[in-house]
Amino acid sequence: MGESRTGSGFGSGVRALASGLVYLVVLAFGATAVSLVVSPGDDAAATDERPAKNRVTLASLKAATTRTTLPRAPRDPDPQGVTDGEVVHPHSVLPLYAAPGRRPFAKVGPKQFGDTWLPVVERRGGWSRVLLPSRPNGSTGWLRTKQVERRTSPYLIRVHLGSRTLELVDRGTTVGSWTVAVGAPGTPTPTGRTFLLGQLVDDSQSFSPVILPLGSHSDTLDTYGGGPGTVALHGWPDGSVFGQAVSHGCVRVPADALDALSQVPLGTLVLVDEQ
Amino acid sequence: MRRTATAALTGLVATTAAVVLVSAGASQAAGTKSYVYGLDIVAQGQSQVRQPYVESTDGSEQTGVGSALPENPLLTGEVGLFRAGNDSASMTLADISVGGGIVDQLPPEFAEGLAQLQPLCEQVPETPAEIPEIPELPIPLDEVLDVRTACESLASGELTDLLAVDLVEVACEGDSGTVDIGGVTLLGLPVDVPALEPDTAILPENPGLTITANRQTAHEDGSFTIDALVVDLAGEAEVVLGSATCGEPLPTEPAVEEPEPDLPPLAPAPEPVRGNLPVTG
Repeated sequence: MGESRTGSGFGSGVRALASGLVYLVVLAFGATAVSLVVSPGDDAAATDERPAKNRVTLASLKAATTRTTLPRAPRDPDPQGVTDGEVVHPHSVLPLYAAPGRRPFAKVGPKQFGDTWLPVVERRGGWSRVLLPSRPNGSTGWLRTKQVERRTSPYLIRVHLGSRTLELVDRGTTVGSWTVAVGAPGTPTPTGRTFLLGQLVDDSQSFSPVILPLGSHSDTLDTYGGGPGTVALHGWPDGSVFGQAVSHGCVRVPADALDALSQVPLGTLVLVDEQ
Repeated sequence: MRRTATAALTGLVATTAAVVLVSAGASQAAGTKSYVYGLDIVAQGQSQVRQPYVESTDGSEQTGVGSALPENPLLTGEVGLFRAGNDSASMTLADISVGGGIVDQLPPEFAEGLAQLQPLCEQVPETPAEIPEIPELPIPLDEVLDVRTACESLASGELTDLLAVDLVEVACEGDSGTVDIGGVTLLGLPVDVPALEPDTAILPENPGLTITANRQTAHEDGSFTIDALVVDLAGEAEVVLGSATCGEPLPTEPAVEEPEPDLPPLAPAPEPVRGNLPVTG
């Protein structure tokens, strides 16, 4: 009897505590969610205009980073197209949509290697389509333009695998051209449209004072050195490699090219072709 | 215990009211001006906080980025990009936490008992019998809340806030606007939130507190305001989270041809960061 009363007392206390919390929540704000939860049947039946987007749960979405694969990401519709140079920066974690008004399939955050800047490759109404840093190569996603900071890069970087050269273009004028090393036949540098993802000083690497990872990945190496096979622009201590197809996919550039490329804004478009 | 919780709420409201009375107000904006702000507390019709805030008086686009909501006892959150332009305004809020640190605001005897709750939470029935009745709610709370899970979250310290919202977007254009809410967690439990109808009233007949989501107001001067969430405290004060107001559109010069859209300003030069990413060499 006593035990029973004690247990009941504890249980009652806990229930009262829980009840009090619920009451507090409801009065403090939670009733918003509660009342919304209790009426989804009507809303679903009415098939309102924005049901899908309102089910966005950022926590459940995979982040678009160089280490992730987004098989549902729509592919770049014009892998050799030149843009007007617009780049965008999300100031908070934002959902990425497969098409304007569709359900989100991933999210992108404000930081990756420093600030995240993504090139805009298409616009539609209040939406901007951007290249993403994830696998597979050519992954894109749509962002709401009003949610991002917009800037312009005057630069374009062209990498020609056939001639093993890299061009830096400023407002349509080539301001630098260098002979570089590109991927070996078994580990080629992937062609297509990508972008400068970041600028890293990596104390564990000795081959380059700074590394410029791109948004693309090796098509032949799933991983490399413990990394996800990210392709990059970087220097190389042995100048004899320039003009050769010898790398595992990265583009090795001379020191003066690296200096110039280090001034190019993140998000700048990089076009890799077979020429 | 119910009295204790109610007392805590009373304290919360009183603290909020105290903040309301701290500073002098600003006037309501009108006319062609468009503006947006993250948080405001309005007392006696006067704005007390209204921050972060940006306005456009000449139709040019004005933007602000990345700041925290002003300190207040009710909620915390981050503001992403917000902008006001010609008859348009928008704001993105993220990581909204309502009642964060609520445990610290409870009476000591209440807070001290939390650590001993862990084994006791198992005794909470999955369908608790003592949920307080709130007649204004259309169905009983015990049908929508898993109180045992909430209890365990509270006892283990995992429950950091009462209500969390990942993303709130509020925007207006002309005489219409939208409020979108994504990623709602109530008492640590994910909640599926359907679309918000305009002026969704919460606790509409509660004399002490009303909450309205997606409040839309057409002003006499032709401007239009949309508020993501409004808490009215007994008609004495109200707390507004996420508000966008669109003024009257400014007249534009008759265009002979469609002008080229201006490109955004130049992007910043990058700054190297230290890190480790094995690349393909």
